[in-house]
Amino acid sequence: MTKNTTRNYQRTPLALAIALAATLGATAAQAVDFHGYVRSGIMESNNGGQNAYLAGKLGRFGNETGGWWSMVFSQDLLKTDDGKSFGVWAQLEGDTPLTGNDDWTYGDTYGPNGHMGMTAYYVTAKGYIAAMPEATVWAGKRAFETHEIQQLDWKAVHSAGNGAGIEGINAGPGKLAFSVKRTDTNSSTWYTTSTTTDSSGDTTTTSTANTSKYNVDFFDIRYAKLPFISDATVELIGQYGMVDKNDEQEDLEAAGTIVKAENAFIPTMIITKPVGKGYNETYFQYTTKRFANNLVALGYNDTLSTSFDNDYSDAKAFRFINTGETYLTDDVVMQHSITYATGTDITPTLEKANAFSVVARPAYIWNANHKTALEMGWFKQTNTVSGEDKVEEGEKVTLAQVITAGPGIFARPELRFYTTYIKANEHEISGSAPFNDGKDDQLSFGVQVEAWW
Amino acid sequence: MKLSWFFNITALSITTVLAGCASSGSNQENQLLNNDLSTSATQALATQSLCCNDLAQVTYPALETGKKLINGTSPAMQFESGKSYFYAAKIDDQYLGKQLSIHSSIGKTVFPLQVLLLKADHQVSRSLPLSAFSTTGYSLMSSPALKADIQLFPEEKFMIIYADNRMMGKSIKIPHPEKLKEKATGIVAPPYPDLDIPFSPWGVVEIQTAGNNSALSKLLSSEPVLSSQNTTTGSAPAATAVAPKSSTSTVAVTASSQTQQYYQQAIQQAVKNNQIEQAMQLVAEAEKLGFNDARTVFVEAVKQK
Repeated sequence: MTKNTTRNYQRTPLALAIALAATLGATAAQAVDFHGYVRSGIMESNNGGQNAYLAGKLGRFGNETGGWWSMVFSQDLLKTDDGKSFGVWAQLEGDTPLTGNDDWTYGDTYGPNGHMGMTAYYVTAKGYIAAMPEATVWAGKRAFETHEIQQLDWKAVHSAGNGAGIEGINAGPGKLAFSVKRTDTNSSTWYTTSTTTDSSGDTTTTSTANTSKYNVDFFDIRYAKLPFISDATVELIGQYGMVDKNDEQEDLEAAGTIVKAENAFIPTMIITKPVGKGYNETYFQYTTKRFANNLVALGYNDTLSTSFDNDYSDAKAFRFINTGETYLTDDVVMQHSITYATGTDITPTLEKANAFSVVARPAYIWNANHKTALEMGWFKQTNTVSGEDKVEEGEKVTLAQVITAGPGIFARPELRFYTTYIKANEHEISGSAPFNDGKDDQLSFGVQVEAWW
Repeated sequence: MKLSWFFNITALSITTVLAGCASSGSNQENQLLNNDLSTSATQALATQSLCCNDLAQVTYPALETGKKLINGTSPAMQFESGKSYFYAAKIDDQYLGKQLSIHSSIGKTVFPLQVLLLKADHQVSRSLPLSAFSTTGYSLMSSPALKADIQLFPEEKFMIIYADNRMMGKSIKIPHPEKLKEKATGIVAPPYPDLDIPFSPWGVVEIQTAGNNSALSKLLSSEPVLSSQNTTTGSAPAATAVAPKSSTSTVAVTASSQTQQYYQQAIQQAVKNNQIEQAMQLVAEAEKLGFNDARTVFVEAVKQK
């Protein structure tokens, strides 16, 4: 009896193995794939503070006062011989301000204590739609194919939230993807007052700020990898934010208590061309209403924001971006980003906005472990506010010696020893000089590490 | 002048680093990985005299794990796939039944490695062609590589690592390292083209016992992302071995049926010993070499238990 029990016990994994290897023709869950990213360091300035100045326009290199980390865990849960697969992806991200050593007091927003969050967790299923077996269906929380202007640290195309979608559909010469996500956002603020009377008959009036949360569905359609001229390709993107209001919100808008929240559409065309070992990318974007402000705001010009903090009903904006990396010789590589954005009637008071920035970073590659990089940035933005022109203009130069670990020229981690000089020539839009003690220039030194794996 | 000491130290550091960067400080390994020496290596190989005419004549030092530089100081001989520099070693008993992880580092060039495993009488027991090696991508502190894990059989006493000379003048494409950042951040990588890596008669080969890796290093290492067979710009050699030549200066490799037979027996033995995981590993290894009957052998072995 004991012998039989033992034999049956041994047969169970064998039967399972046969089922996996032969009958089902499938591979069970693979090892968890772990990837991560970290950026941190120290920075000091001649003004005694850590102040960055408009890195989204002057360049982030030697102009960052925050660190960032990301941990990604993904796994193929199932793969079958006939091309079907299930996978899962989870991502944890956070920032680490460079000002202190507080490890644990995380907040829920970017700030002095840093914050962290589960920014993605979704499941993919490929090969389960008979009509398009090449397609992958997904559901969960995800930032779908974010396009970042790396040198400026903002997202020219951004689409993140809880939702579902389908990607990788063969459609003519290109690939099609569609998704919808929730990007709920606040209304503009309105104030209510309440009056209380204490026992001695004194009255106190209290003003309370109120907002209402709109439901916003963010639709995203991509048509990518379209052959263009020579070896260039084009991606066409359409993103539509649709506001779903409740009766209370309709009433508040009708009464003029809050500004009207309107649907908005932003189309984008991206032309991509390989250039030797580097690349060149050009973006064209035109939009109206809420998204228009994202293109001409003074800071980081991410496209995703749908916050209705102002009346954007008449806003229109256009943006052109050209960015890339070019090997001028085997030893000299140049990164660059050029951005031009213009908008009209952004808000009832912001009648016009024009912004231009150019950032270039040539680097000399001494050998596989050492580079010397020089980043130069300049920008000017003019906003016409209630008939008056306000100008913000700045320039930056960063000199850095870069040490890279490992034998490959692209290997990480990378250590950057840098010094940066920034001058804010005009600061009428931001309203005040950007550096400590009311100074409009800053010399800083720092060491930064960036690693990914 | 607040924090002038900080500025002084940082400025000194930058100056020191700037001064230091002009000298490469490269050792032989860096020279092999960070320079495209494929042309000079090919020229050197052409004039290199042969060390031996037969596998039995080769000197086999004891196998030691670690990096092996294959360059102009390495011995060379004529193989079926052409003349090649090679690394040879005697497999001691300490490696009996162990799994070896063998990889060829990808730098500016890559050594298109192949492996011969020999019995005590120097007859070939297995021949692992280039197509048996997969390409691993960039990971933290490690270069991409052509890599394979090999389960050693008890009869295998010697090992030779050599290049497939037919691949010279061809290249392999690997994903740009920025693609790894995409996996780490979820942000679309800039559209860098794939890197084109030429094959070279010289290179850096590393041998490890597969069980020696720490859990952390396993966690941090990338899974194979690309098959060399699929990405070479030329056609990769077939997984089967080739017929012997009459030339006495050419090492004949007649391992195809023998290798297949070894895998069959090893799979059957592993199943018999209830070592299912090892058996599955052998099935995967054999299938990679093109022995498509391995799965059937496995299933039949289980049925007969």
